[in-house]
Amino acid sequence: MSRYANSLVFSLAILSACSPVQPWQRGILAKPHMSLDPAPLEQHIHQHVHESREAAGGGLGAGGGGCGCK
Amino acid sequence: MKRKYLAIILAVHFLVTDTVWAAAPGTPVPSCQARKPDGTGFIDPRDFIGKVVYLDFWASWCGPCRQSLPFLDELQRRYKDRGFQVLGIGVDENPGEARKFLIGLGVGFPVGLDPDGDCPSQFQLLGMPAAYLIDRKGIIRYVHLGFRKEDRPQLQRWVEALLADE
Repeated sequence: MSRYANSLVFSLAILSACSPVQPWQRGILAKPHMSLDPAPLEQHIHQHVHESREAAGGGLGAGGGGCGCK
Repeated sequence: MKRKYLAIILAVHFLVTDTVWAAAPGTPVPSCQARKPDGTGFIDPRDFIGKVVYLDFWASWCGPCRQSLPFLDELQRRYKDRGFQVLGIGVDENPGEARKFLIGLGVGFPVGLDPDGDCPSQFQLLGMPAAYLIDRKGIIRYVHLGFRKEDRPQLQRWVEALLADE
């Protein structure tokens, strides 16, 4: 019990270092190079080529299921 | 024993969390200082009590702000003779980017830059851009988050309502 409680207190203390990024602090996160996909056009072209070679597509986003009709 | 640990956990929780209440309708406008872009002084929303104030928080990286600032400039020109004042506070961490952004837009209303985030912390902004409509007594009456072109008629109605309210 004691070990469990100690670890809980310790975890809470550690978690206190985690703070959300406030809306006015998102300047750096908003930069294009911080994007998960820094070159969307290039990625789209690569994906198109990949789907053509594999004769299958989709599964990477919301739409499409490999029918080639997206 | 359990109670003792619970007390410790709660104490740690309250010590490490900093609860600040957001500026909401019905509350007095907080005082904060944002430096003018030319460095000649500060703007403080409380210095404008007696006027209907539209306080807008913007940033160069905020897409909708690029649309809202020209609209606010137009509002300022339209209603300035009736005791209306638009204030803009830029929250860019890099003031140089904010200055460059302003030059591109050419706004005519007073603007302050707050790279340390003192003002948005005071207001506890919930999003960007954030606008606060403040009546002549210094009470926040409306809060508007985000900006879309379709919001313009509503914002204008709020301004007119506050200007008509003595």
